[in-house]
Amino acid sequence: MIQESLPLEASLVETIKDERPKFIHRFWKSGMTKLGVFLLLFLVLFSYVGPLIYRHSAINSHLLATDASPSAQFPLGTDSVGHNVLAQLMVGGQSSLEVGFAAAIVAMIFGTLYGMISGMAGGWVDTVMMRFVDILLSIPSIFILLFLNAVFQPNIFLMIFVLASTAWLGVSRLVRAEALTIKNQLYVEAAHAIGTRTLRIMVRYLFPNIIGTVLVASTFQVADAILYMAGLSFLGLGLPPPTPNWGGMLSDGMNYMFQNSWWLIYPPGLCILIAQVSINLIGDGLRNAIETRER
Amino acid sequence: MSEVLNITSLSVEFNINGEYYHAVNDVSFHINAGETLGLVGESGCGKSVTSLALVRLLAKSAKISGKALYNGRNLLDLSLEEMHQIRGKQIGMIFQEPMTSLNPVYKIGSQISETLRLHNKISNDEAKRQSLEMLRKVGIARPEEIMEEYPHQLSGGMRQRVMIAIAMINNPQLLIADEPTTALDVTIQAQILDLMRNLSRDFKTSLLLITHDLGVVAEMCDRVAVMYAGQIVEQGLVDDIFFNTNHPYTQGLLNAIPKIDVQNKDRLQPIVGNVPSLTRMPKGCRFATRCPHAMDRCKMESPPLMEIRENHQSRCWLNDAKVV
Repeated sequence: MIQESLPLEASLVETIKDERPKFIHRFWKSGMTKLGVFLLLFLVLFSYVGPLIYRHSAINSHLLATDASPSAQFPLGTDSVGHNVLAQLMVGGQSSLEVGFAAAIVAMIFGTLYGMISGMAGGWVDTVMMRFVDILLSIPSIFILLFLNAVFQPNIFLMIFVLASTAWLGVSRLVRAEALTIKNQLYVEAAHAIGTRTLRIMVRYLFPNIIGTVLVASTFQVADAILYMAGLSFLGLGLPPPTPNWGGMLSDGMNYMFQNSWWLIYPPGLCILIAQVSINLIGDGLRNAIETRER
Repeated sequence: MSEVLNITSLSVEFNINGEYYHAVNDVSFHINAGETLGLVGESGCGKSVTSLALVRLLAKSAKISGKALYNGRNLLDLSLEEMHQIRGKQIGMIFQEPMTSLNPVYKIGSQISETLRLHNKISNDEAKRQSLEMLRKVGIARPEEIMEEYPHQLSGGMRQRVMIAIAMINNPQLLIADEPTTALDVTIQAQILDLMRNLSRDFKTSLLLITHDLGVVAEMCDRVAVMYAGQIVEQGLVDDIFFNTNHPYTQGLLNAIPKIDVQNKDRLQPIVGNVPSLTRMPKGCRFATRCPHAMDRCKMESPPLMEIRENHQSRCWLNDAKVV
């Protein structure tokens, strides 16, 4: 029988032990990544658990205590119409985080699909799809965002799609580039050779090999979306009042700079900064953990 | 014996800067059931293009003409759907690079079962059982554990065994192996060749073995087709090719094999020059520029493939001179 006639690869029977640490360990070993995770965790707890502990309304006006500097009653003071800044900061974080993550996820899903189809189809389909992306990319995204927000009165859902409408462009280019590389890999050719159909190749061969790159890119998209939303709110085209948000608070605070109301500027600014730094650190950690993957 | 594959005047043209050039020119050969045919030639002579053309895995821009009859059906006329059903089920393929031929993100077991389940309606457990058995047949020790491992955990030789398992699991009638041992070291090469020979014998599979290694040919093949610059220049039984060598190119290939037992410490005799490029094919014999026996006629007229004895053809004007 064959089994007997075959010399087994005696020396190679011991397979290469997978000594590479698990993904989560590679991700977690960097101090900067830990810092990022802790900062983001802090923001999430601050925004969602904070209001449960610090039970003060973010919307009620304390008209007898407008422009109050930080005190025992108002740890971060009040603004010109008597809103409790700390309470506003907490509630404002919710919309920032929700919109940021949701926009990034929508952009990731759409951009991945678009890029995969474009890369896989090739030829004129690819050309048309990518020129369309180029056209949209050539328009400054802040202009598109301002335009859309001016046309539609944004609520939180609309805001997500508005932000995603520009964020998917970068993702789709990235995915297309990856798809072009992977579709020429020998294992894809081998997949064709065993009779795999195109759709299956996209699902089983392209997607799992692209997802790492997409995940990293999308992490940075979360940070971008939060920043864009803050920027839009700062320009007065964000979510409508009374829902507080960081960019809007910053914008309001700017009007009272002359009276040294620092508590209106620094807290929302710091929150935006922490969101940016933490998410970027996590993105870097993810990238390092994924890129060291053996190919 | 019945013919599994019969290729008649297969030509492949590629578009280079708007013009079409022949990469494979009027190639004809056949493979009988259970037979091993070696397709030999140096890099760039069209061996791989020939094999990819007949399973229609070339880019759409390539122009393919001729006939490739597989059990009487012309592969070049089939619909894409029919091709999907033939690839992997009736025609298996093994590639040169085992290191990159497996999808890095799935376990070995899942990749072997996938091939089974693409073509057969069987349960997951049954696919797993058959995959396990196949892994055992290709000589992998501890198949249960290997099933659960990822490609990067395996050595090159083991990956090539897995590729063979994938190619053979549906018990194809024809196996196309494109330089299956080129990327492996010599000891593993011998094992892999042994394995392929045993499997093709036990499964009664015909084998189209593409290689540039005449040692591999001598060990494995029943018949040989020698390709040069997109044409078959000599074709015949393996003994005839080695011992009654006719074409100067084949002779050149044989001379270029290092031998350990040469008495005089002669230097290796390479074939001087390079394969002419696709875009500048000479109008006469394509080998004329490198041929030690080239005559005026060779530069002017392209020789046809001439029958020089039973089952032995050669594309050289020298034979014509002998006949006349």
